[in-house]
Amino acid sequence: VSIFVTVGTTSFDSLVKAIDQGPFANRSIIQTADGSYKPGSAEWFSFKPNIQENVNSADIVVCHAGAGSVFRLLQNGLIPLVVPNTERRDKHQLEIAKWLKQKNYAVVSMNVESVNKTLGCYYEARANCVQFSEERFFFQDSLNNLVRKHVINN
Amino acid sequence: MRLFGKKGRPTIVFIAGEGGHLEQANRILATLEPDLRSSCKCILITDTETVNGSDFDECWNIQTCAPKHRSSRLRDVFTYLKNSASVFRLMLTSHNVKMAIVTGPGFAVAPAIGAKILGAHLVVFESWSRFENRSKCGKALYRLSDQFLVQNKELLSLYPNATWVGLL
Repeated sequence: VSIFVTVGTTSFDSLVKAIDQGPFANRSIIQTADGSYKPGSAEWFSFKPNIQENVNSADIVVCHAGAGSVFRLLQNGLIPLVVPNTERRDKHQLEIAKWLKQKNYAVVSMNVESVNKTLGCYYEARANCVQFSEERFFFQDSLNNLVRKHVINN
Repeated sequence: MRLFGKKGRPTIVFIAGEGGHLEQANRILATLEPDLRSSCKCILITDTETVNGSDFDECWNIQTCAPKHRSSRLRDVFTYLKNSASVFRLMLTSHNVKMAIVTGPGFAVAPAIGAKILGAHLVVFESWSRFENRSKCGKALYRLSDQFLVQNKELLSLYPNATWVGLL
């Protein structure tokens, strides 16, 4: 099993450290952002223009609960293991993590301490998840009309 | 009502931070029809130097200090207001800003108000990561915006006059 961990644009050292010091370290590649913890066991990089290749080649994707990362994965039909980054001053990632859990769109570990345990039973947890089915953006015609009215013809 | 006469190509400013905020702005930009896109200038106003705004015609940076770099709250506020004033001056003197599209976060409030003062139509997207609570940006701009859009239906109870538009 290969694992790819992504923390987005904000560091999430406790998650990086938990994976790097856990039982899945030698099967993991971690995108660390600008965190101060440098993994010693797992492969890692800080940023890349495009992480799609890493996502595609992983069996399991672990990601922070940033909406950009989460929605991109879900809209690609993947079921990630999501961990809210509570190291941030703003705790809003807890909100999306709770919502994902309630909707069964992802496997969720509400704290870093349980991430390795959750990884160990990822496939059992994933069996209870459902495919992401939220309504996509349907306002594009109205938005274009607003632009036509207020920007081009004004 | 426009307060100032403008010249040049009509401009839309997108005001967005890094990460998911930028992702939302990129997705909105991608929904513009090609003829509209080529008829106007699209400028990204952001708060992060490393943001890649390559899909936009220009990218302006409003430096704010991230919490981890904070040395003095007062100094950060001063820096933010000073840079917001520079952006306002740029919008006023060199650009024909007709619309501002905001995806947050909080730094977006001052430039959005600036654009509104200049007569721009203000469209605010509440962040897609909000379900139960309003963001600072959403709270500040809800009543000022001309269109306030939410992506998660749950938010309609917090923003009764908003429009639900689905997930970007």
